[in-house]
This record gives sequence, structure tokens and C-alpha cells, in this order.
Amino acid sequence: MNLKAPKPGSILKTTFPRLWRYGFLLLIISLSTMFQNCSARSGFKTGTPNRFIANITSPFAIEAQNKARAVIERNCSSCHQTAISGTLTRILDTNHLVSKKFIVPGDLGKSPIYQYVTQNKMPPTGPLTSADKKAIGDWILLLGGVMPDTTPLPPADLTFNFQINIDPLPFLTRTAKIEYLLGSGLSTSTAKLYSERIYLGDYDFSLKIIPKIAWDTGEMQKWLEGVEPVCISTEFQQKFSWEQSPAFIRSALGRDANATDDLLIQDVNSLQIPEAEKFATLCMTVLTSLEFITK
Amino acid sequence: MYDGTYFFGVHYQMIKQKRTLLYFFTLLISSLVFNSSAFAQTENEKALSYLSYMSSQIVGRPLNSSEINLLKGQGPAAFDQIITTWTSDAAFTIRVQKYVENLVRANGETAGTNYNLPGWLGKALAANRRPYKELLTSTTCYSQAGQAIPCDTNAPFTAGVLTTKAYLSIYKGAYNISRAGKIIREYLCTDYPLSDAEEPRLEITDMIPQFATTAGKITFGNGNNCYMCHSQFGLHAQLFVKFDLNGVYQPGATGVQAIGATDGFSANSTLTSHLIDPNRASNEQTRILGQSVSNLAEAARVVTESPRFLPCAAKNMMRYFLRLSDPNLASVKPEVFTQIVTAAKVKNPEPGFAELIHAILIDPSVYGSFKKSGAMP
Repeated sequence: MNLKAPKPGSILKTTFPRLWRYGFLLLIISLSTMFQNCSARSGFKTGTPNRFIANITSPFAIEAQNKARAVIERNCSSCHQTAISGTLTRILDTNHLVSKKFIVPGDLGKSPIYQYVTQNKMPPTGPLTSADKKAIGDWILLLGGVMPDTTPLPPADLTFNFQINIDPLPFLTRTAKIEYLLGSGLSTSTAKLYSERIYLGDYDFSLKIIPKIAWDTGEMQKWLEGVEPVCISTEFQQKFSWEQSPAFIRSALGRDANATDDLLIQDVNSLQIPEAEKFATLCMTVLTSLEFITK
Repeated sequence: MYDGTYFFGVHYQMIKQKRTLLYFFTLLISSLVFNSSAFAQTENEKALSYLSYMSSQIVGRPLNSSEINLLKGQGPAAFDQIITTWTSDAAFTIRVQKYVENLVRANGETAGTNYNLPGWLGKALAANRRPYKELLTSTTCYSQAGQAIPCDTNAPFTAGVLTTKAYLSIYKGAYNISRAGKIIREYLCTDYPLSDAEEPRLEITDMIPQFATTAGKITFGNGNNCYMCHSQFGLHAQLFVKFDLNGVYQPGATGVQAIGATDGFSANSTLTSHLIDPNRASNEQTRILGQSVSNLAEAARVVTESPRFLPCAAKNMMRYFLRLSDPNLASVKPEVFTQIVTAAKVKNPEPGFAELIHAILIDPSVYGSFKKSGAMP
């Protein structure tokens, strides 16, 4: 055997690092055990300090934790505490949340609970308020000993997706607008419209007929046939005329005629028909376009 | 003078032949109506587009000439005046009637049941400037003409639309689950299961066996955990235990499952209770939102006092009057509903339809969202 005596200093260079690594491992294990022991007694359930809850000692942190608990109790616990819903249960048990990595103390990006609520994936009943989301975030940060931003929340952008609804207006809203234009309430000229009211989208819940939203060319054709008597009625002919087309558009649409309306008027004007018919054509077109469109 | 015969005989044929052209016009104009703001560059023009879009559903007419001029001259500063005028208009009460009809899903009339009562109640509340909450707490119903009339269930108490045969018929069903669920979903905008803090559950031992399962049994709904929701459903369904399928109050109803009947059905066309004790099963006394109540009218009062109630009303009104689709509505932050309610309460601590719609339309986030929408390039 070729045994060589260690060279001076070699112990420090080789064995000690091994020992140091060993010691480090022990340290990790002991810390981990300590964490487990502590965390088993901790969290929302008991409030007993653990490695993370130990960070929740200041009045500020305690208040933050209480706020977060209230938010979670109010919005999450009905499904995620005692009940079985998905993989997340025992949501009021901090130790459980940490051990299952539903929250990573001090790290919002790695905390699925925070991510779910800030991405509005939860709760299913509707997004949390900004303040509620911040309460959860602050608590997770404080659990990791990270001081959250204490500056007041900036005024939230409360705008939302407001896509203009291009479904037909309710039938009776549309007919109300026509009657308003007629200026005479119910008129014989609207009889044809009312005779087709169900086909044209009106509802009668007592007969289990629900409002029709989507229109096809069939409904469009019926509507055109229905507004035709209105547009050729004496009431309309007396109130409006071809020369007063911009005034008619203003009355019907609730705004001044614009450049494209003018194009429409020009197009209708190019038809080789009497003016009364030109007006009727314009009238039918405008009344058919009163805030609905075919799909 | 216009010749209708000629129109029908010639011009209408021409229109039909030129249907494509006409439809093109229609589509064009339609888009112009929606996008009238395409030409709106100034704030005043945007304000005009905004209320032009809203006026149909609020008052059933286009903006009139003076409103157009006011908006062109003053822009958003004219909102308050115009909307205040709208909500005093009889046409607004008709639109409220339609809103309630769609909320309750009730209108029309069949033999024995007047499904118009909920809508007429809404119309009367709007006309009389009564609080919105009276939709559930009104002690009377109303005729089409707005005269107070008794509601039609023969119950010894009244709770607005809840004690109409219309509501009770539409949401009839085994164990009264639909009648109960509608209250929570439509008037509180939440769903089962509620948190234990908000609605402490029935004890599992107090419930009939089919809803007392917590695991291991595959059924519909929440699968293996009936108890999760029915421990709360059961509390609320108890309020309806005396009402039969047609909505008629039956003082002698027992709430006990009828032998040989379909599950959930009790004797005399009444519905089965969730409670196993026959004495409790026949008793309307129960809890809602953690409070003990002796009947549906008291429960309705508790519901309307919930902090969820008015924000939910704002949400429902936005869905109907602003014609927001569900995805759009889902993008509305809860703060919007609460700030609308706060604004409405400034005008009236017990806000009615008028104050709520006013608060909705002048809310900066609502107007801001409209301006941000595709209709506002």
C-alpha cells in the first residue's frame, strides 16, 4: 500500500470542506425539522409563531395577517377549507399552504394562490378587489420576512371591457322608439310589427318564450315589412319628408347626420324614384338600423 | 302625395331585388349608430355618443333635440341634468318593468297565474320612487295601473316578488332548491357554498340522508359532497316549505317526503324539506345569512340588508340597461359596483331605481369604459 502522510495543510483543503458540507447538510436538516415542528403548530389555525409566522409579530404584520385571513375566509374557505374542491384544501392552515407550496413565503411570483387571485382565476364568484388582493400579497411577503410596499394603492383603473352590444335591442324598446318618432303612441301603422312581435324577438315567459337575441335575414325581412307601413304612414309623411332627411336622421338616431349618413342620402337620392319613395327607403333603412344588426 | 300602391307594387319589389344593397345600407348605418363616436373627437361628442347609446334602454327613445344640443354644448357636464330628467319620465318606469321581467324571467299571464306581477311591482316602485330593496320587501303588489293589490299566494306575509305565484311557479322544483338558489344568485350575486362565516351550515345529523353525504358517493352537482351546498340550501329552501308548486301558501304543508312521490315532493304538491325532524321540516323558521328568521318576509329583509345586495342590484342593472354581455360584466371590478352604490346613497340613503341608474350612468369608470371601447376610436 502506498500510504502517504498528509501534507501539511491538506486536511484543511480536503477533509474540512467535506465536513463542512456534512455540517451544512445537518444544519439544513435541523432547520427543516425545526420548520416542520414549528409550522405544525402554526398558521391561521393557531397563530402560534413558526419560522414564517415568526415574521408576523409587529402590529402591522398581525393586522396584515388578519386582513388576509378575513379575505380568504370570506372568499375561499367555503370551497377550500373543509369541503372537497380541487386540490387545494385547508386553506386556513398556513403550514399546509406552505408545505404544499400553495404559497411561497416572501415570493408572490411563486405563490399559486396569489397568482390565481391576481389573474382573476379565483374566486369563481368574481374577482377580488385590489385591496383584497394586496392583503393576501402583503401577508405572503410578510411570512417571508419581506416588507410589503406600504404606500397607499394608487387609484385603481376601474375601467372595464365595454363592448357595444350589437344584438337587437329588446323588441319593445325598438317599437317604443318608433312610437316616439310617430309621436302618437300606438298607431295602426305599427300593427304589422306587433303582429310579428314574437318572431321579432319579444318574449313571453309565461309561455316559455324567451327574448330572441340573434337575428337572421328572416327576422330582418319581417322587420322591414313591419316598418314599411310606418314609413309610408300619413303620420310619418306629415312629420318628415325627403327634404328633411338630416332632420329625420337626427330624430331617429339621436344625433346629427354625419358624413356617412350623407353618403347614404346621396345613394338613395340616386335612385330614379319619387321623393316620397326615397324618403320611405331612407326611413326603412334607418329604422331597421336602430341599434341592432344581423349576426 | 305618396302612392302606397306604387310603393308596394314597384318600389318594394325593387327593394327586395336590391336587398343586398339595402342590407348593406342597414349594416352601414347600424355600425354608424354604434360607432357614431367614430366621428366623435371632442369630449362633448363622446358624451353625446354615450347617452345616445344609453337612451334607448333607459327611456325607450333616441336623444331629443334639446338633449343633443345640451350634450354638444356642455358634454359630460350635462349628464346629471339629462339623466335626472330621464329617471322622472314615465318611459323609465316601463323600462324598469322590463328589467324586472327579465330579472325574474316572468311576464304574461296564464290561467291562474299572473306572471306580470313582478314587472308591475318594479314599475310601481320606480314610479313611486321607492327603494330598490322593496323588490323583495314590498308589502303589496301592484296592478298594471299602479294600484296596490294583494299579492296572489295567500301567504300571511308579503315579500315583494318572492311572494308572487309568478316567482314561485317559475322556480318551482324538488326540495325548493331553485326558489332558494335564485335569491342567493340573483339578489346577492353569489353562489353556494357560502362561507361558513356568512352562512353557518346545518348540522349534518339534522339533514335528510340524501343531502348529508360528504364523500365517497358520486352524485350530480358537486359530486361527492352534497353536504357542502345543501347544508346551506336546506336552510334557505325551508322558507318555501309552505308554498305548493303553483305558489299557493299551504299552512298545513309538512315538508315531509310523500310516500311514493318523486324525490323532493311532499303532499298536496308542496316540496320536501331538507330537515329530517318532521317538526322542523314543517316549520318555515330557519336561518339566512346567519340570522334567524321566522318566514320569507323576514328573510327578504335580511337579504336586502346584506352588503352584497345593492352592489348586486347595480350589477344586474348594468347587465340589462347597459346591455353588457356576461364576459364584459365579469370584467367589471367589484369596486365599481360599490362606488356606484355609494354614489346612489349620497342622493338617497335608500336608493331606488332612479338613483341607481343615475349613479351607474355618471360613474366615471362606466363612462370611461365606454370611451375606451371599440366604439370610441
